[in-house]
Amino acid sequence: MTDHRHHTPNDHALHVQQLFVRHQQTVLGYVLSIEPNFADAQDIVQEVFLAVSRKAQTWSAGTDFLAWACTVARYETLRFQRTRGRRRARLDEDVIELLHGAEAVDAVEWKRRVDALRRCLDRLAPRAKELIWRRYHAAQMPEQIATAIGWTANAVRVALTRARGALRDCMERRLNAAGETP
Amino acid sequence: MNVQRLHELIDAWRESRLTEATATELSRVLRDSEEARRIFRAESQMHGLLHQAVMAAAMEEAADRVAWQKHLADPEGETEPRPPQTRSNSRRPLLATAGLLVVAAVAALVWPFLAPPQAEQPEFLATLTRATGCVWGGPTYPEPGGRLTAGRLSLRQGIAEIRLANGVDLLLEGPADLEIVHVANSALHAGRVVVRVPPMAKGYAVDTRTAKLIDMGTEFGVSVDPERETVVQVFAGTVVAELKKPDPSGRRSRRLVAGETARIEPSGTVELQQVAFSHERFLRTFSTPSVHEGDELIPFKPSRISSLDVARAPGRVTVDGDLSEWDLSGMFEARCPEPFAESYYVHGCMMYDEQNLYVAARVGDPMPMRNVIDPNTDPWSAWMGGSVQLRLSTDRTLGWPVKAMKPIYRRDGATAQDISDRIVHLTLWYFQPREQPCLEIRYGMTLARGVVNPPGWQGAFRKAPDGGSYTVECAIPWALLGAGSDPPQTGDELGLSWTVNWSDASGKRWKGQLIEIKNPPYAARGKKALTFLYAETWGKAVYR
Repeated sequence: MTDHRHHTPNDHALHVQQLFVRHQQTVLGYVLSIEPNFADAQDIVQEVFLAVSRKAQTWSAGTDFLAWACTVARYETLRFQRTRGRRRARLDEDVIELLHGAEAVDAVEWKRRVDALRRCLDRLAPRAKELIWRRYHAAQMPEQIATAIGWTANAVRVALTRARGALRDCMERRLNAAGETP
Repeated sequence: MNVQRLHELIDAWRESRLTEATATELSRVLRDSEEARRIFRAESQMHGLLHQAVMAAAMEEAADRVAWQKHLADPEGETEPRPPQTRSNSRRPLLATAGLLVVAAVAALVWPFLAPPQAEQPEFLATLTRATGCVWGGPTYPEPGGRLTAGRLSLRQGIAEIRLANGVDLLLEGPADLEIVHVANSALHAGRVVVRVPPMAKGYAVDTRTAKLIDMGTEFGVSVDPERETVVQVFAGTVVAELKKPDPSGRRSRRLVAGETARIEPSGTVELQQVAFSHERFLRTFSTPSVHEGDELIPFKPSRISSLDVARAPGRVTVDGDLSEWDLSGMFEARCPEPFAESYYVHGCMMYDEQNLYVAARVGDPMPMRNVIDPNTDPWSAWMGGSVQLRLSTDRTLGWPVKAMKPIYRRDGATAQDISDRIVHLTLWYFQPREQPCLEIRYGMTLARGVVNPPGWQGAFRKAPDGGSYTVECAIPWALLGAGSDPPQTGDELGLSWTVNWSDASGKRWKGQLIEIKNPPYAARGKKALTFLYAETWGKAVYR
């Protein structure tokens, strides 16, 4: 039987774009782990979309799409930091290479973690949840959050650190519990 | 390895506030320690995971709202047969397994069939992510970070950035009247909005009285004027305009691509490209925040440059906004801090000869050359509408730093330096209504005497093709600067400071500034030392 989805290069490129859109949030999450600024990360993802569209023919159906897309994303992120982000102080390139050089993203594991974190968000105390929401949905910096809720920026940082710690513990518990279930 | 210090550095990395020194420190720690790298990887991955999880939670809330409203609107729906083209709850398992993208896409499809939001069950659809100078007309008075439900937002003035749960960004420029209907659809009743739609939210629509503008993965601006005429301008991607009335040829929709504009009249008449595409029509970048501190103005950032080399003009200078004949070897660059560095900056340069001082600058400004402050009636306020200002001494006997200040700050009266006409304050701006380059010169630290557009000066402004910056070039005779018979010479080191001011879209409301070329002890802002009133804070011009 013929796989009619991949008949022509154009079909293949479209398929790659569809896959990218499906995994876009994961790519964004991955980019954020290298470039923490939300606005820059979103710009980078747009660049990655264009790059995977250009390079669609270098991906073979049946291989790990997300691993390939994240490799492209890593390259685009580092390129972005070297060019548009060059005026911001950043980690040395050899260190970035040490941190991310041999990295391969496990899409299944990443999704498990996101799902676990998603459930853990519901268990946060209301104030902690608000802080996390402001920081990660509204992309507010601690100073902005502090102004909005009448705290000091340092108090916000401490509370965010605690909230992240609680979320990490919860996520690990969920992942371990899930691992023990056949 | 100091773990607490590592976490402080990771915090700085996460918030994009690493300095050169702390970036070097963090690099060293990470290079030297596998344990530090493990911690960093865990924290950086958490940063990405959390963003994704929170966005997923927001979309789940939105999807739950659909189901809840659907249940209210049609409680028997699950058991009744439906025609194939309608979305039934049998798709829910698909939503559960196909991931968030499908939730978003299908939610966008089913929303239009649902009942309007119920006031007694508020659900959050969006967040007001940023706001500057916002005056709301009610009934909603949101604060930055506040979450928004479905409903009408009346923005009397200012700029508001709204992020919907599906990632769509709306940049609303007051005065405007916008109704958030749901995450897949807003209605613009008046004013201007720029919409940025991520690929996963493709299909997002803005309703106006004359058309529904449906995104096909793009960025576009929409304006609705008091006559209910709609103007749409596509910056990237494609937009489909579904007309509320067929146009004279009977067509009910038009497809617009990047670079195209359309004016859609209440009668249904559609005029493609009759309205010229203009980057300035819509505000696409969030404006700089105000930097007022009390009643005083403060510079945006510490100065990094203390002197500027002023080269001899290599030949005849044609003042036309083209710097190709310039010796740009002394050019300096200064940028506002993040997140504004990309858009708000200045490249400044000066030259001289026996007749003139030449000044040139390329200024990054998302709203360039909009100043509407009239040189004939209010030149003193012109700086606020977007301008380049220079303060300088042309008198080598004053030395450097220049020990002059505004006399009211002295206990024992003005000194000769304070009232010297060889200390000058220049303001350069482009008066948009008459398309006129303007110069105001004020003399001495009293700034009491001044001239506007004096005979003999030449100025030119040129906007960059992308609408994101402008170049100003001017030639000012030394005679206008108090130095007609004794212009600066090679080797002179004279007081100099630059200020660049940015306005909002109105071209008259000041939004921020950058001050550069400063005496190093004053590089960081001193609260009591407003740069322009204390010449000692100025840096120096070195005439080569």
